[in-house]
Amino acid sequence: MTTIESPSGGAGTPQTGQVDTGSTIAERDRQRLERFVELSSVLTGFAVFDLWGTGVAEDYLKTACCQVGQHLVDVLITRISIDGWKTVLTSPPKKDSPVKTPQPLFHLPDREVPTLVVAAEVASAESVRSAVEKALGKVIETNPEGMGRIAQLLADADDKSAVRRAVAELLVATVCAVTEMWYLGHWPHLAPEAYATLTRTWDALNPPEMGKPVSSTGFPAPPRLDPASPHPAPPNRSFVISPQSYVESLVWKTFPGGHPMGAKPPGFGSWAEPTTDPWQKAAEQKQAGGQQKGQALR
Amino acid sequence: MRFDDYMSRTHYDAVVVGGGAAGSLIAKRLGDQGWRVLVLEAGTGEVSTWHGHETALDTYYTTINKTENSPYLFNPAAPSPSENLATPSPETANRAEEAPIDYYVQKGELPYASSYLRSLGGSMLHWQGATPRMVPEDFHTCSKFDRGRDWPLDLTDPKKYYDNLEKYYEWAEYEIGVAGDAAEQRDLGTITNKQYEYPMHKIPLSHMDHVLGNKLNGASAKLSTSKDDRATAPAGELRLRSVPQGRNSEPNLTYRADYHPRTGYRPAEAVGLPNYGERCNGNSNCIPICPVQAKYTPLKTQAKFNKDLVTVVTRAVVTRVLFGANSHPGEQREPRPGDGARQDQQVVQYNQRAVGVEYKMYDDPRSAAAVTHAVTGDVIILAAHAVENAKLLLASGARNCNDNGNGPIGRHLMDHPVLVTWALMPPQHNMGAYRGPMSSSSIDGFRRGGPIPGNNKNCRSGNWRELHAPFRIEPDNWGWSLPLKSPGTDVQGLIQRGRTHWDPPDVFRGPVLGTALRDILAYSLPRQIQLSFSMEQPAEWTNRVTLDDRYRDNLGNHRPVIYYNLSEYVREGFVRAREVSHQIFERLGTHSLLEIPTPHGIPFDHNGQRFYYWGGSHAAGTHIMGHNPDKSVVDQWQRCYYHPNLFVVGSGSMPTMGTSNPSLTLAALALRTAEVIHDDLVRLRRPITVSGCPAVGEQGVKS
Repeated sequence: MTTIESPSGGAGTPQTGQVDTGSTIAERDRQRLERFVELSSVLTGFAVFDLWGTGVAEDYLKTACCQVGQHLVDVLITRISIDGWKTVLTSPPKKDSPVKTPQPLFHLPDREVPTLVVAAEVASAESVRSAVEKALGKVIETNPEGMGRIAQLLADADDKSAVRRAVAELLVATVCAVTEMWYLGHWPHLAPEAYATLTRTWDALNPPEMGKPVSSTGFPAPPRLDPASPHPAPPNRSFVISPQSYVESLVWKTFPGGHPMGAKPPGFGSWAEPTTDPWQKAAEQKQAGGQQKGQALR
Repeated sequence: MRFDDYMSRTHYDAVVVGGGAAGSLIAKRLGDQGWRVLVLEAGTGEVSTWHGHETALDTYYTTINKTENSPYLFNPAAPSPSENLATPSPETANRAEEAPIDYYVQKGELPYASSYLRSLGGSMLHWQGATPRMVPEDFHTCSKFDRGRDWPLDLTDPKKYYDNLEKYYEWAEYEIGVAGDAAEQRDLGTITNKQYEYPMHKIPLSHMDHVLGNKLNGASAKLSTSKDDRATAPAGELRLRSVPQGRNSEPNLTYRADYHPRTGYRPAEAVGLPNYGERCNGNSNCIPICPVQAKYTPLKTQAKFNKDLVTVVTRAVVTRVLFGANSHPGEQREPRPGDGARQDQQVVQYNQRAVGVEYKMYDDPRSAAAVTHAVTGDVIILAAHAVENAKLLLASGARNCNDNGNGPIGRHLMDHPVLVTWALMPPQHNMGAYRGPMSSSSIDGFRRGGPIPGNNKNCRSGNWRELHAPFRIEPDNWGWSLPLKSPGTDVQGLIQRGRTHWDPPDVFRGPVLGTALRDILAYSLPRQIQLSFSMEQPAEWTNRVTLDDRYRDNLGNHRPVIYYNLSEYVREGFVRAREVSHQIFERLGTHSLLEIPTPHGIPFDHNGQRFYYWGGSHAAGTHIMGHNPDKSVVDQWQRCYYHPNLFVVGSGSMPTMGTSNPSLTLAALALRTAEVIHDDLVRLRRPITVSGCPAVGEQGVKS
């Protein structure tokens, strides 16, 4: 059983990569959705409560499943632990980290600066990819049924590591796409390389039986009417998931007083009121402190 | 009224082509005065119901590319710029997808970057809502600064100014429902009536305006070309004033006017949902659609139409104006390309009075099937937008003065080319961006012109406005949404590349996710500040709309072929505006991020500098008003010089726009024209008195 660093808590979360075959489809869907929201919480920096509050989590999970195939989403939400994602996104880089940030990312004017820059370094493609690759390697070794098809691909390929790397890159692209979906309410274009990998692995990851309602995951890939016909990946285009998804875009919740343009209006004259944030307060305190010092000196 | 009823009524007192701002105001006025009016609208009328409005809002939410026309469905039967047509011309095919140029056929040096909307309600469905009046100098730019054209209205003394224009401004402000501070505008010189107050109190200034006001009020900036010559350059003040706006605010309880039935103004409600949407509640979405309809749209005027007398027909694309019997049989001319279907005729004759219009009615906008009808009217009013009006005149073979296609129709195409500059404010200034109406204030110090210190031999008038374009500066409340499509592009840059807008374009740091992403956005989004510089563009003979039979839309109507460029005068204005922007940002303790290239503006080079301009969506001048029939299309009443019962109204009549958004001025002109149309119709209906023939009663007495 157990191959993967499983999340510490999480009652009802599958402990293994395999979906619990004993529970009903509805129950499995619920578990999967919970894991998806937990993962999204780490990716977006918003609490699970905020994400459930949008009411669009289920739509997003379905969209992701339809766009990149459910097995990839499964890898993201059940085979890599939430703690693993947290580590990837927040821990400082090791001294021998291959990541070299070309220039400081962003100067936030307070003590948070190093953390943010560090996080940015850690979250760079290289480190996420290596973490994913590691997890993926384990999956492939221990789970011949589901991810075994990728293993098959790897076995066929001349250069195993290149394919493995390409799939890992696709996973990174998926993680970014899911984050962008939460922030802006739309499914984005995937990078051309990632999409190329997706089309190459689509048939292996989404075999004909996946379209049937008894699919092991509950979120069937787009159904295939004729199992013999070629089964292309969905087109690489960006689209807004629903009117509600635009209204619930997280980007508007990142700053105080924010609201989506054209919805959730804050009321007549509200725009005249100041809003504030920690950086402004810190800057004002610093200024006030400086003035007091100046007065004392005089 | 049932369909067959209005089809059987084929003669009207007035036929109005276009259900936008100018057409609706005129139709309402004429209907109120008892005339039977037909309004023919080329687009659909879906948004005039509350359900249709909600659908448009959902369409907006689900559109990736949230452009001006995005809430309104693409209509191939009456296409609008910025929609994709099947055959984009080769010279525009490689432009960014959102540039509103696909309906236009662009042939000029630079593309004409402004869009409009063909739908019931017109382009004012997605106007910003700013209603500044023009400043006094704007009406005399030719005589004062030797630039552009003078207005043919007699505005020489304050009384004439009031009677000929200002009272119509007041009336338009009533019809639109303007919120503003009259004292501030009086101080600027745009209001001369000492008693006048706006119908509503001004829209509250945004927090951003307050911060800017604290830093800029009392200061001035120099109109220099570079840092070095600031000492000797003319100056303009940087004071912020609130902008009068056509959106609902707190009503002015002491408002009085002749045309207003009682004291105190009552704001107009949403169309189709009574008692809803009375005040602006900060949706921050004036362009392209106000969810609560606090912003004026012509649909609000249409809701007040006299339903018995004014008939509105949508999906009726007017294809040409029909002219009546030839009253000057000697006049003939050769056909020219714009004559379209009538090219096979050997000779096309001049006609004088317009008798009616021919129009095509379609059912499904996607179908090319349309039925052609004609309707007659005593007065024909073209109110279809500056570009569409010019198209119609040309396609109808209206007299274009000296015959070889070289007349003024379609020429003098103007816009407000916009320079946009942006910066990130320092930590202590959370500007509260992305809240409130698009813009609530304006810096007016560079609108009127002013003396040049010392002697400048190149300048006859001694006023800098002779040397380069004036501009109005608008601090925008919506962050960097115009130039950079923020905040969407901020998020995408960070997630996909770890790149912010102020990084060089090739930066790749890897994805930024999680709390880092959230914090960077939380810090930067409210600190985004953007200034828009709306540049005056004087009327130029060579900037024009014309026709080419090769370019047609789905129903076989002409697409506008456009020749456009920015003159030296306008380009010099961009240089000064950029320098003023640097000085403002210096004063704010930040610096301009202008040098960062953006894929969205349209580039041009001037004196070794690269600039980007955006269209202001303020088309004007194509049926320009003037004294001289050889150089102008309409007279001061917007009446065609050669067709006395054909009125061509809208911003296309304006000889100059100055630096003001044209909506209010075009509304004022429309109301002024409605008065003349009424007089004309009255005269037309009056029994003829024949001189020298005694009346019957008198004969009776004598005999």
